Amino acid sequence: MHLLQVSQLQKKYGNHEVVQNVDFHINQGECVALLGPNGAGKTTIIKMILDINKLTGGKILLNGKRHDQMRKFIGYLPQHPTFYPWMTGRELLIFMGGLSNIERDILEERINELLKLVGLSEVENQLIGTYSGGMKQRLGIAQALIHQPKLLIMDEPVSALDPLGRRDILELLKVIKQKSTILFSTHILHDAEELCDKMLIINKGQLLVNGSIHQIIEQTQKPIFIIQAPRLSEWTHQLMNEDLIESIELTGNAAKVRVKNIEQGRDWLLSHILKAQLPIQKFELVQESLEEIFLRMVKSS
Amino acid sequence: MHYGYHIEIDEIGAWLPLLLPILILHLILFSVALVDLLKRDQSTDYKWLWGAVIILVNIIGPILYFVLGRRQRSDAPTSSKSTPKKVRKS
Amino acid sequence: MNRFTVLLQKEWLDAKRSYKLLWLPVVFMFLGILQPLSSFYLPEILKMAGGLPDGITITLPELTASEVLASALTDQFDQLGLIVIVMATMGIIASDKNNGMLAFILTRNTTLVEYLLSKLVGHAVMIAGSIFLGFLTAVFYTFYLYQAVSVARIAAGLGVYYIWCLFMLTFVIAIGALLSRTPAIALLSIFVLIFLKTITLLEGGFQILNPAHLSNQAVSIITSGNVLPHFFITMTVSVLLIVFCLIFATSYLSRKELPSM
Ligand SMILES: Nc1ncnc2c1ncn2[C@@H]1O[C@H](COP(=O)(O)OP(=O)(O)O)[C@@H](O)[C@H]1O
Ligand SMILES: [Mg+2]
Repeated sequence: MHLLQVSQLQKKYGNHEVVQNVDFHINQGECVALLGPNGAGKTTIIKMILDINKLTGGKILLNGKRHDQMRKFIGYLPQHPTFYPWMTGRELLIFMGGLSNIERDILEERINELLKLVGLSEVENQLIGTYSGGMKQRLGIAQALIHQPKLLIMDEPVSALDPLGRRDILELLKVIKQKSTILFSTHILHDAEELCDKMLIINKGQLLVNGSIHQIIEQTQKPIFIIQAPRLSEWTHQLMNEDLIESIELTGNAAKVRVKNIEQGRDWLLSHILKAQLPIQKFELVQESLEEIFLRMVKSS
Repeated sequence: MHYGYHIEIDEIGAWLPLLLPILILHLILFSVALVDLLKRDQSTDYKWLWGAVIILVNIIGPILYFVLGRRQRSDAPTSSKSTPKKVRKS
Repeated sequence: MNRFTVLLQKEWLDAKRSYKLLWLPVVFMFLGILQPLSSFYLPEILKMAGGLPDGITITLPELTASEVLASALTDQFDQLGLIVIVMATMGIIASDKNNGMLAFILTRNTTLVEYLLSKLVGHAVMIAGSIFLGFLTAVFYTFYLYQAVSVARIAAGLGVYYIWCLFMLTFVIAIGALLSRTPAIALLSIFVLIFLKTITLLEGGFQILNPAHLSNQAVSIITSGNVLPHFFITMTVSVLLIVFCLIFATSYLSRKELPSM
């Protein structure tokens, strides 16, 4: 049995389909990244799993049971955590732990451990109102872990942070990941790649790819010709309407050309370059990077 | 016939124990509000404005400060999340 | 530890940190002092101010001690006091709802009922303490300036009056569940509550269905030791309205998709 099973998940606001028939599952111990550009529907999916937003279709099972009875087993870090500013960090953890029915003495012990883990021991008695964004994020992670949830769900845990803060949190998550099952959303491929082994790429509410990073690369990677030459733009202009060409991307004096068939494409491109007497500096066949796969999928969907 | 106040010394003596509690209550509210305002991480303009309210408006001033002056951004709806977004027709 | 206790402790901490625990009782103590002091010294103040111009005489009624106490309820607590209670409670649901905290804590093991009950009990205790302290100061001043009144009557009257205060509280909670903006919550609540209070001045049978009428019942208990007719009907209606407000708040909030962080 999967820990989390999402089937045919659907969300409509009026006529606007924000999430469309999304299917995926997460197994115990996995770290899964929910990847997609802003507005893709990541937050909506997460809030539906937590029963904050109601489903308009589909089913979510946690440990085989309906999700609305199981949300107490989830640790949740919201996208914009705004906890009570008049509480201290420790008081918030006591409050959240109390809501999860943890015995007081066990709770104290666990709070001390967590504060040390997220590096907030020094400021535990300061008001949350005085915390920086990164500190609030850490506190948010601590409160999400306080009841030792079966599944830890984090909505863009690093997106709002500066590079240093983001580094810190990513390192922290790497530690946490060894013991927990994690689902986290991000719009930055790099974070997903660094932290997780499985990825769900979504755009406009649709699940585009679902699988491990290796699988995604193997199954969806496409070759690209990189052509470098001066005054490329005139030449690429002529290629636009060719049947063989899938897409052309021009940056400076280099062009990334995707073709539908490698052999035909290569011959055709070379002959065309000769015909146009293009003074090329580079003609290379490379494989798409994960980032290029991601961008291609998001654009074409 | 005369206008204007005319209070005998012994009359003040009779009033004082009755007025003292009011004075003490006022002093408590006044000083707590003022100390809180000074500790607050806010602009000088804000402090002058509420300082004036606390000092000049007896009794009601500190209370207005506690109810309205201490409300922070956290009370306001966060970003655009709480307002329903425009629904696109497809 | 019990979740309800945890929520209640949070309310308490909030009240302490926001100074509500300080200013709410202090306001009521002011109001309590104001009535006996002004009733007693008004004639003297007028005299001291040089009296009235010739030809104008005001006959100030001679008030008894119990009448002074009763008017502390109707003239102070029911006017400025009512506004203060609304101001102290206008944001208790709306702020948690608007900033997403309510949706967030509901992802834990809590239920809306526990949450709303913690709000209700926390503030009911605070309001009880405040009107108790306020009335206690009124009693001290009245006993000192006028004469003693039966303590049993005072306690009974205040108890009845407290049910009307509980209605105010649950009404504001219901409006707070319904609306989001605190100024709107405050205005609507004050408008309706003052309206209910004002129509108690009118004659008519519908009074017995009006929770504000409990304030008149309290006055009657304090001044005469007896209740007005139909006391138990008004009491029952008020309690039912309190329960209704709570059920309304619970079902409205549970049906709605709450704003979240
Ligand atoms: N309450 C709502 N009403 C209408 N549309 C909404 C609402 N919440 C989100 N949306 C829409 O759903 C889409 C996905 O939003 P969201 O899940 O927040 O995206 P992400 O988290 O991936 O950036 C957006 O187009 C957004 O406008
Ligand atoms: Mg989002």
